Amino acid sequence: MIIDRPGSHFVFVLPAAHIRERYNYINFRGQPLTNRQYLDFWGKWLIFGHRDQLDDLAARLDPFVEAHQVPAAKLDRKLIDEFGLDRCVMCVYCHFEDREAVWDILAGLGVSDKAWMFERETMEKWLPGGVNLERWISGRGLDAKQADEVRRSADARFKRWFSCDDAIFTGIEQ
Amino acid sequence: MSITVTLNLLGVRPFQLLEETMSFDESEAPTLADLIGRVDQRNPGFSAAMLDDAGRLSRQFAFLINGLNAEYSGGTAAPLAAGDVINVIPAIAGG
Repeated sequence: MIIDRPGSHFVFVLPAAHIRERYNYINFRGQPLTNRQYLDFWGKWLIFGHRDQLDDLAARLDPFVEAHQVPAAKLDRKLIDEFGLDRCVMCVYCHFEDREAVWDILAGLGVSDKAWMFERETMEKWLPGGVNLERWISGRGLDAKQADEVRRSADARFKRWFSCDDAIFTGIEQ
Repeated sequence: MSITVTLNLLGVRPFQLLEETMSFDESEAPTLADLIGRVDQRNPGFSAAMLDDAGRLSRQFAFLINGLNAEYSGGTAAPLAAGDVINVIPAIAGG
């Protein structure tokens, strides 16, 4: 099911069961992941393209998401120009152990460039000192006090989400 | 005997590579640093953009060897093998 809400930066491809029955697509062989497992194993294939190309791919990926062969995907609604990207990005999520099976599906849909990223890598880029957070701060021209507040807030958010290694991962606000 | 590898820049704005496929002498035991140096010879500024002051991979980009981050296989010292595909992406991509 393609979730396209104009107010969101992202367009999502999610299983309808997730929307209607709270099916947790972040799992491995049907078992939900703990916070530690999420950081250690959950990740995504990154696919670069123009918005219309990624919309087309999303439509063709949707049946695989409904069949739970691909957990979920999301794509940029528009180019993130402020970060110097020249193409939109689609993230196709899965467990590390399932990455090649998911890749085979993507390759069958015409994707050719392999780029895997763990969610842990993404999180670390948005922590204090992380390349994305620091670039975001400098791009907004924040003063030192405001920048420190943003860093404190990012750190607190991460700790709130991942304070207990063995707790079931419950998702991240987007 | 030579080994051939392929380099792709995905969503990386500042550079347009003059060549994507490169061959190395197998006896050189080429690494990612060798590849970056080779590209820099024909694309001046490439090394400066892709490496930090200490010669490590820049945090602004991620190098993926056959899809996986080169940091997990030694960073610039990561060995290259015949048929490897190296994709470079901006760090911002994916989140």
